[in-house]
Amino acid sequence: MKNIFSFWQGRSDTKPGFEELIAPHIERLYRLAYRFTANRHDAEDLVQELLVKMYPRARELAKLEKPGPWLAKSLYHLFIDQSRRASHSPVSLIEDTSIEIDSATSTNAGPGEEFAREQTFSEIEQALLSLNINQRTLIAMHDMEGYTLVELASILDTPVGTLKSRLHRARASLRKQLTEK
Amino acid sequence: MQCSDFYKQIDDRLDKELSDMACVEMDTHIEQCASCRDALREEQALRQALRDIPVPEATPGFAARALRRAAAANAVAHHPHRNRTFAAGFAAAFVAGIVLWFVTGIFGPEGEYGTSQPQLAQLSISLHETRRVKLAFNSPEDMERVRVSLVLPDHVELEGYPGRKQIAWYTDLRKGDNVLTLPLSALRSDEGVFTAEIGHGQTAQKIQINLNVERPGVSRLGDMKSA
Repeated sequence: MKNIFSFWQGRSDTKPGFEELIAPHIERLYRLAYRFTANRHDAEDLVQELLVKMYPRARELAKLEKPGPWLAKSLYHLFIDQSRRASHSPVSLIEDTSIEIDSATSTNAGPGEEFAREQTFSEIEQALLSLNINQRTLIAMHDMEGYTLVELASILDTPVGTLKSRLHRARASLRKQLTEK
Repeated sequence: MQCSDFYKQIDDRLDKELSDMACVEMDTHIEQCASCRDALREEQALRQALRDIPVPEATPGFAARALRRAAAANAVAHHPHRNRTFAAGFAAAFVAGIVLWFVTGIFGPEGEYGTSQPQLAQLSISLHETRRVKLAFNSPEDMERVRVSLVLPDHVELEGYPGRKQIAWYTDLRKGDNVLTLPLSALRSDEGVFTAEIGHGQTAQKIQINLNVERPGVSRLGDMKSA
């Protein structure tokens, strides 16, 4: 991350500190964006758009004790807005919904086990894509990226009890999709 | 404990939301119930798999590039022409769109920023590569029946539209950012100009990119630099 900071050193900008504030969160935001979009390009685009929107709000960001959940909340709403806009847009965007598996990810498993493992991942990812967007994002944030129920309650402005019920239904839908495959 | 009660508590247990007492009750139950034991194991395995699904790393230099683009795009967003009348606003919006697009487009792998309002950019693509090029139009208000037309050079095609060198359609723009993603596929090594035009009434703006398709292994220095 050093190169990110050094690029702006000595620059008298109207938004001092934006890079220093947000740079530590970019990797986690990208991961979350990838979980939402299942596509590296779209994930990068989503984070890029978030940064463009956050840039004028650097001072607001600086006042936050823990900007992480706030940024995750903004990313989530941006993704939901984009998805809704895309579903109603008269512009027919060509979407790349292919699932990317990181070939660099290595395990100690043998080739057969590794293949089976990747196949399992692929099936789960396809099943996730068939869920509705609210269920998919909920599982992505909680079960995949480890946001706690308390954090999610803040991010989604939803009581913990309601989140538990929604998560329960989302997982049931996921299991159903996996069983039907 | 009944099996139905056990099933209801699986999620809470795996979310660590269950009391110690309730966990002990569940453990006691699965000692004598293979079905519930399997159900718990399956759910544990699914949760583990969800956590283990890999996330590909972002492209090299993404974070630095994204920060620079955020700064550049906001510099564009504060362009003084944004508050003019409809026609002027529309033209300004296109200029902003072009700039934003170029702001998006002119960054090379190292995120170098070229100029604020270029009219022609260079884009290098490797042979047989598909590059997703984005055109972002920031519209000051909702607009109906805006004409979008694309003219592609012979050595490049739009994925999903094989053989089509001219594509045009009408669309509506919504207030704010309207992003059009164009997956451009490189068919053969050559150089030529890609043109995108967007028009409304008597107003039109053209974006041109010099597309250079390189053979694999050829250096991509100068990738996406403004002309």
